[in-house]
Amino acid sequence: MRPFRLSRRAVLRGAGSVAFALPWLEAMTPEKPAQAAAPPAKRFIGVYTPGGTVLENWRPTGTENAFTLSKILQPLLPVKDRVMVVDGVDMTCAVGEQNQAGLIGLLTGTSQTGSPMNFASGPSVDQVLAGRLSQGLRLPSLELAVRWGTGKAHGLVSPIDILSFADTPTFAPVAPRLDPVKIWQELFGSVSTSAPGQLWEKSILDAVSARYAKLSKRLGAADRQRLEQHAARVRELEVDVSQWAACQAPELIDTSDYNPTTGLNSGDAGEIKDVATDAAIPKVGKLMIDMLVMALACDLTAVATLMWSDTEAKHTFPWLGLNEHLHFYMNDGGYHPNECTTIFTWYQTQHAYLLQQLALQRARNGGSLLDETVVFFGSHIQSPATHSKVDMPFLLAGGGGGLRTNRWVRNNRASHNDLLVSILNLCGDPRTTFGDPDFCTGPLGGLT
Amino acid sequence: MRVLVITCALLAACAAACGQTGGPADDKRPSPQPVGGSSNATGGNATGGSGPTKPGEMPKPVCTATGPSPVPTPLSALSNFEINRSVRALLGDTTPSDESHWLVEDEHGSPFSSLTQDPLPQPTHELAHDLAVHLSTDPAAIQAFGHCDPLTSGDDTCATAFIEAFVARAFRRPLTNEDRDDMKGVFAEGKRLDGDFKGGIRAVVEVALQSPEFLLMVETGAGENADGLVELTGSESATRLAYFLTGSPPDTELAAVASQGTLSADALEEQARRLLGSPASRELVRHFYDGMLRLPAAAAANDAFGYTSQIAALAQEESERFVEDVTFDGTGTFRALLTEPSTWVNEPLAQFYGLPGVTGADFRKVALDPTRRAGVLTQAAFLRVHAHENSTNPVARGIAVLREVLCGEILPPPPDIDLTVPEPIVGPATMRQRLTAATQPTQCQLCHAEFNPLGFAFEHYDAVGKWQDTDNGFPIDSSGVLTKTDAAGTFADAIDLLKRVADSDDAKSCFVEHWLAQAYRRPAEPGDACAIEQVSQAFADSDGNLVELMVTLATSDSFRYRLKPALTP
Repeated sequence: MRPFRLSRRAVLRGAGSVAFALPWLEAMTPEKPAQAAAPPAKRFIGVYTPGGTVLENWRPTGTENAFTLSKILQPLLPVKDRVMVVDGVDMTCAVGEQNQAGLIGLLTGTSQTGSPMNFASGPSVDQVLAGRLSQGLRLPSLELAVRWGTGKAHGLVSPIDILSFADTPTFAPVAPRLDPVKIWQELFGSVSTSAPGQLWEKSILDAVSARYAKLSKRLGAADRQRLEQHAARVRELEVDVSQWAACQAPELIDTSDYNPTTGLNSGDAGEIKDVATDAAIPKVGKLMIDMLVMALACDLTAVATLMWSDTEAKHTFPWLGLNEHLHFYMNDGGYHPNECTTIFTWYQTQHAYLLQQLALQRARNGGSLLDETVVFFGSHIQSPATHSKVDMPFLLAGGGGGLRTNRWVRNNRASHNDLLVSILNLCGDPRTTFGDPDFCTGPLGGLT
Repeated sequence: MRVLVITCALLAACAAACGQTGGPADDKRPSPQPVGGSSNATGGNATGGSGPTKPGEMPKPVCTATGPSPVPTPLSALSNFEINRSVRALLGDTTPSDESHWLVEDEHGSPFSSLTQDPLPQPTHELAHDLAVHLSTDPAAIQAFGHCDPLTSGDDTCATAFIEAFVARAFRRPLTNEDRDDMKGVFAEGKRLDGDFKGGIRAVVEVALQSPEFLLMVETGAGENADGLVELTGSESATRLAYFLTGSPPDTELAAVASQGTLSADALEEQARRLLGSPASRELVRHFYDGMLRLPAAAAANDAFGYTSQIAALAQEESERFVEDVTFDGTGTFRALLTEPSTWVNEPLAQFYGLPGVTGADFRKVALDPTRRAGVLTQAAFLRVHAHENSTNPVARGIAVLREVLCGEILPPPPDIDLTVPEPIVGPATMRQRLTAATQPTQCQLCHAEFNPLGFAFEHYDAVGKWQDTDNGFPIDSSGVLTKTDAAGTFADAIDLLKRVADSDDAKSCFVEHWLAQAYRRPAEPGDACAIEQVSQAFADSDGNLVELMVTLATSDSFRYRLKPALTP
């Protein structure tokens, strides 16, 4: 007869194991905490604004973890803890026409091939991520633009105004959607669209709960008790689901004063003004953001980009009392840093609204959409006057892929291609180089 | 020092607890319970504070039953490891390549958490959702189940065919009419909400993958036999067998055998031997020892010691290959696990160990200096996980040997404890000297005397498992005495200690308990006395053969029968 031992595990499950949780020296030389790798981001959003920034009004002060937002970034204060200011990144890949190359390189990390009016020589990160993140969803990606195709773009696809490029050769330019009414109708207007998430989830969980209830009747008392515990947790999940704010069509406001294709009528120097359309930019911009957020919340897509105009930005800002176009304030009419600052600050106000809306939407795992998303904010240049692409005004936001926000991360001459690699990595794409390899040294450290 | 006070408080707590019970290896041993009697499945009474047991006194349970004597098997949930593998087996070629869908297989921290905790509803809900979206948007994938094209045969016909093929496989048993009706209702509702056929399919997949029949191991039995025992149905037996030996649902052949009716002991043995020849079984064996020895430790890297995250991964691979090779291709014995002086390395890992003549990324088996390394407990993965960041941790190593290899037990502390702070050693000293001084008080020694020596045996392996001749410039004393169990006696070092343990019946019995828990999906219990006795005997008769142990468990009574459940709460 062998000695029998009552399993010690029963004991270990009790308080007893605490006695050995911290044996000798453990507290003095603590082990590194085991860090579970954060799950990859489930969604990606890219936001483009024209004109760069006014660096002295953009750059925060303080230290990495204790920083004060500057004038332009001040509107982000309510969501500061969800934002990372990515400083010290240079867009060296942007070789070509000074404006066009900046926009081409922004999400592709490639140069403008050959002469001006040529496009990118590689895909943009949003299109790459569409193949990964939007699998099984209605749209691979959603490209939106407000007051687009100004000036020399004449409302047409051109290297002046294209942010996204297809993930297959020849990396064709992907034109953004412009008409808010058409976008709303396509995304939210059809009765046969995906069931609103809440209704769907409730139906699924009801059916699951019914399975538990039926099985329970066939089991013995002990098993039934265990099963009931499990079923109770499914019901808790169901209650949780019913509280999701997710997926409902945004209100379609009246935008009849806004001509989405007014760019077709534009003049090279921005001399043709459409004041009615320009005045409607704030409300149309808000509607675009609402539709973007709901497209993600409704799982219509997992990847979206939003362009505020284009590199020309030859439209006015009547609601800010600015009746010349942005390019005028940048350099066409001489550098106007105050007017530029006013406009760039307004863009940040819109960006804060986007981030707040994402934070309001509950995701399936109980967190918010913002928690699972990586949001990239950038421009095609840094300096409005010189078009310099050193120290680009880049922001990351959200919690996808374990992004550690509420920081001002100061890099030293870091490559923007490396940042693109890191964005891909945050979203679960494991590649170590992106865009033109000449400008890429691997992922940018310090983001997670 | 505040830190020291806290640390010593815990030490004192432990010591006082040991003082009550006479030593960590002297568990309280309740008498066996009659067959069919009430059983405390969680062993919760073990934590009760009943009277002390004198050292060396072991009330032994008696195996009195003459026939099958199963212990009630609680409803058990699949672990994340098993759920992931079940989904892959279910989806086959249509499995998404994207890794992000899968559940985190985090059960390694505690080998039994997976058997005692239910899968969390939220992650499984997400997994079901993701896979349902993936599957339902691929018409070819849908048609792989049921081989029916809705364009030619109609939605309802194809939904029925899909349900018959997909849900039955997910549930690991033939469908009942109630199942069919349920799932047809789910399909209709999904189609209504989402607008088309694939919406209905998506709903069926989402519900099936969250149903208790998929996530839990539901057993109702094939009916009561003359002894009042409930024999498992063919599907239930096959499911138990497949998860025990492969961590996966039954494969096609096993499912076909199971569909013929209940499985006899002979049929179980035949299928067990077949499964043990499959790659899935090798993966299961690797996973099993990972859990038992807590090997995976992503955070264990220590660049300063040359133990980079790459080496950490290679070291885990080394130990996994070692246990796989010993089990299936090598000597095949328990003794070899603990004493075989060979291992598996590739070039970077060989360089880490200082083993010459190994080039390339491929792993190969190499012979080791038998005076320095032998068996899985002398490999870097185990040694590193049971160490401090920058130094050895004889306490952790000693306790691991005591708990996992000898099934020693350490009871919880009483609330009233004497806190005495020992004076730390000032100036250079070995780890052994410092730990000995720090744990010198009598109340500390009551516990530490049992496991400190077992840890000191490993002092020739530094914080990352590299060989060291000296510690802090002083010679290393790795000798000691093991006082408990039939392996008791003096030893010169870890190699010597492990040889003793490898020949110990108590250690083999402990090892049987580990595998029994894997087979029965619950920790060993008093009522398992007969099973442990019989299995241990067969294990000894086969000279500690690891494969034979698994086969024996797969054909044991507790594996084949359930007790008749009490129907009223």
